[in-house]
Amino acid sequence: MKLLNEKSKSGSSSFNVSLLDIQTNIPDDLQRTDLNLPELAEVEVVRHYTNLSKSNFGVDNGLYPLGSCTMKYNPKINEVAAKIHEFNIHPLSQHNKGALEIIYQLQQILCEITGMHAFSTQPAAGAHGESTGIMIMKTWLEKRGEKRTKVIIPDSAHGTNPASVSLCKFESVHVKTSLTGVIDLDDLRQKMSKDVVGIMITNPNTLGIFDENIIEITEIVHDYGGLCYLDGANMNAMLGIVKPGDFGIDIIHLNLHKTFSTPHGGGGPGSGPVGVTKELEPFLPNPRIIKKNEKLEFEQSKESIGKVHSFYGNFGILLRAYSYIRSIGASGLRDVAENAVLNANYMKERLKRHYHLPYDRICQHEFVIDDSLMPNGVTTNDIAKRLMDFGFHPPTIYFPLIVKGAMLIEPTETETKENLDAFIDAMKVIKEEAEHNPEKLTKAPLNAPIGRLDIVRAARKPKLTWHST
Amino acid sequence: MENPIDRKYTKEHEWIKIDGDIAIVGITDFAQDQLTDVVFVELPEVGKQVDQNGNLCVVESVKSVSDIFSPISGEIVEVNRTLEDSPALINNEPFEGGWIVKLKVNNETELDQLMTSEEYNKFLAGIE
Amino acid sequence: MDYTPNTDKDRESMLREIGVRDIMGLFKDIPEDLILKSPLQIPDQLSEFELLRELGKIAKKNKKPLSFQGGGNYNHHIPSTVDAITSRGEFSTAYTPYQPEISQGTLQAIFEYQSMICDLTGMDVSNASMYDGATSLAEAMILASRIKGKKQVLVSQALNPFYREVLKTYARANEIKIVDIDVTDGLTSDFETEGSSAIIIQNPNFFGLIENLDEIRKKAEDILFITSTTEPLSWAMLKPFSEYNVDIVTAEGQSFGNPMNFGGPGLGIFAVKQAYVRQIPGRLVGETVDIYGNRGFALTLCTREQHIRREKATSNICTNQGLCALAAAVYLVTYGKNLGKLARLNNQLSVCFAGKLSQIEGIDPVFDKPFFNEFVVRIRKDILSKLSDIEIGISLEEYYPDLKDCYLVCCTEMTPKEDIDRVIYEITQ
Repeated sequence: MKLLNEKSKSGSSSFNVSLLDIQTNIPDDLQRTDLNLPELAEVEVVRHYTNLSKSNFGVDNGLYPLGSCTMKYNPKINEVAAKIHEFNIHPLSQHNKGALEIIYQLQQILCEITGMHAFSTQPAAGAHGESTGIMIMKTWLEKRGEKRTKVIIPDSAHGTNPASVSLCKFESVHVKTSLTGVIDLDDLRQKMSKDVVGIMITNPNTLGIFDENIIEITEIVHDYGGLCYLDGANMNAMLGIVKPGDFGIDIIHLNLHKTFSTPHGGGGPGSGPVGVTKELEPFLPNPRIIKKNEKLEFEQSKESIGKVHSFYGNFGILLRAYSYIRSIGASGLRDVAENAVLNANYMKERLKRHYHLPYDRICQHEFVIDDSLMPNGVTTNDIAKRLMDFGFHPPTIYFPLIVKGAMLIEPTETETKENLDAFIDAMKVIKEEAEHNPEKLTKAPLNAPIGRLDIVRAARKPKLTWHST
Repeated sequence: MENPIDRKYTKEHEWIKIDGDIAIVGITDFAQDQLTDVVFVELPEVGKQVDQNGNLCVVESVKSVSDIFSPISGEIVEVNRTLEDSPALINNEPFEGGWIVKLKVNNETELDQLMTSEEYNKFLAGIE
Repeated sequence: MDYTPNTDKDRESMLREIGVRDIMGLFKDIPEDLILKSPLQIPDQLSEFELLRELGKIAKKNKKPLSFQGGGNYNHHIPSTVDAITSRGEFSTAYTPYQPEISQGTLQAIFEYQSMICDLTGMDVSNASMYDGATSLAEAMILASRIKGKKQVLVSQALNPFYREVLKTYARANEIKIVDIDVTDGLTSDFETEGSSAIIIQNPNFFGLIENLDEIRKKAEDILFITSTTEPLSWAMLKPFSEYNVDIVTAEGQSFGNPMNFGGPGLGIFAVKQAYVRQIPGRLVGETVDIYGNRGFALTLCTREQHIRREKATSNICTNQGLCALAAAVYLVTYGKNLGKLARLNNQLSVCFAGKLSQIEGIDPVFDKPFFNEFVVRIRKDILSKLSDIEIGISLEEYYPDLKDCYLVCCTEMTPKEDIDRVIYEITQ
């Protein structure tokens, strides 16, 4: 499709602005002489983006089993809630009681769901929550006057974990995954020392397994005086079933855009609130929103890590998450976890007849299969591309790194059994094609808006704007 | 592709070829195959001193980033500038046009610690 | 409401297929005594109309008086095209475009966003956006100290105080030293570059004034020049940063088609010179072709990122503000060249308001310098009390003790002459 600048026609813009008869105070030599933005009639703008949207696939288009991303249906009422006129106020407005109430109530709800003592909704995304959490560890350490340098991370972790650790100038130490798909306790014991600030774990982990040794793990870390951080990316499987605060977690981040149904927006905006124990509450980002004498107000803590966002985080996303939680209530939250886990196990059991399942055990909300049984050199990437032809978004591929050719599948609770069956059938057909007609797979997708893209070329000669040659 | 007999090899899959007091360094066919399509080589500066097994440069493919280590110590006297525009040379001609740097040899005895092509072939057989 | 479509019958047959007797059989890896015995203490579910009623009640506790607040978040009109496009589910319910063949919509829109940001700033490369203006700036600070190898940066005190707090947080974590540069008469004062990797200047600065970028660049010849902008509408009127040889441009892009929303989500703009393309944090979209030779777009230069480089990544950020960037792109192309006129109108209204206020006894302009759409005035307390149902601006005393009784006042196209006249009337009657 043509780019905006290729469609641009001088003088065609219809969006008029009338000027006043007032002289500017800005000297000519500070002003620009030319503004080089494309010009299109409004109808052409709308058609451009409408047509672009047709070459995009969202949850609204179909099953989107992208593992660890929780691509559940995003209820439309959330969007209505977020657009309520009175919520669109300036962050420094004095007339903000309603906005404060939403944030405060959401903080309380997240505490109840996770078993943590206090939450800050300031972080704008999951990785932002992670770095906020590690900053809390660092500031806590400074206050205690201790010098520790290492953070333990399982080898199955998401790449943002070690990157967040590096941002805070700590060193990542990797702990192995056992043959059964959980943290290798012997390896953990061996790597623990008084130099360890803490551990960053994902539970259920990125193989979709709830680590049955979780209590022992947090005890080992606590025994050495370390803190336990939980990457809450997979909270969907635990809603109303178990609280991370009950298994020894000191710091957690949640992804409201995963667990609490706010739309992913093609990459954001998300929201990554951070929850902590009572001991760590003073270290949360400033300002906090607290209740004092029945009144909501901002509070600055002297021990805080400081501010991590221009204002108070992604309020628009908080509103959507709040709307979601209130609309489904306590029993609805538990239903979410139960059905997410049921759907995943159902798919796993049926797919393992055709695909290799490296960890054959009960899973939580997601599971991993791989391409090791595929004939004729067909790879995970080929399977992913072919799935598009069947009207599905592919699963997360080549992650976690500990499974070669991994496909991480998370169906979520909002899919019907019929959708799951259709996906399973497509995977069966793909397996058969790999045997009899592998070309179909290596050339896939065949029916997508565009053919398989040359990402090597994109990286060798990066062309990042319409100006570059 | 065969591993030429006129050079020595490391366990990290670099090759080194001696030409007088100059050594040419690159990565093996096995290494380029593992990396997949190379998209960028972060070349070191000429004049830099490197240690044996020290970081020489970074090679990037679409999916991975790999440190390349120096088989011997020495001063970098030349880098293969054609890789800046044609990183694919590492994939297509790993032992010829895809060479990465030339070093001035410090200490020839360091070469004794490296593998011959025959030993490297055996080493590869053990991996696969 | 209930968004789990499985029926009891479905559940039964699925459990049978799995081979467990009941749902709790699927949670057997969780230690028994951790399983919650009672329901969460959260109110029970609501129907849509009950929920809306409840939200409406809370929303009414906010009020929206006439407001001239800016200082990092601006009340601009959002063209009707923006909402029409961004509310399309194909855009809003998609994830990061990891699978380019079915994400061309998101990818092309971001590529066009990157291009328009470069048009506006004159920079060579823009990333796909970051969290917000403050965190973009923090990423720039970290990038600069990594490239230059010096763990110290110069920060003008005329930078938004919230941004300075965020910088402080990141600097502490990343072990960078911040050296403050004083403000003289509203503009950044003199500084020494020795030992620093970069200088950080906001333009227009927090007081709305236009900094002397030429002079700053000359003095900061040997270090990186990083700018921050909270009101990027000014870019449509002012010379682009490339003309001052700026190395890294960061900004809050909320003004471009995103609502105020109590301060979030914002849009972190981040653009650099070509030389730093492999150091840039965040996502990048690049052009390529498919196997048939058709033009297409994909995420690129991913080896900078954490899923590959892990602890050595250029940043820990793995998302952008996709939908906010889309809103900005639709906003920019809807206005097109008329964005220059909109910028001019904002400036005219501010000049008009500043002029009228300064004629009132008891109100004084604080800085006599060119500004874009924000300016500082000192208001005598008795006058202020006449404006109890108007938010006249942001009180500066808390952040700058010297600026007692001073307010940062902002005009946009949403505060037309009638609103300005109303304020003057309320004060003078």
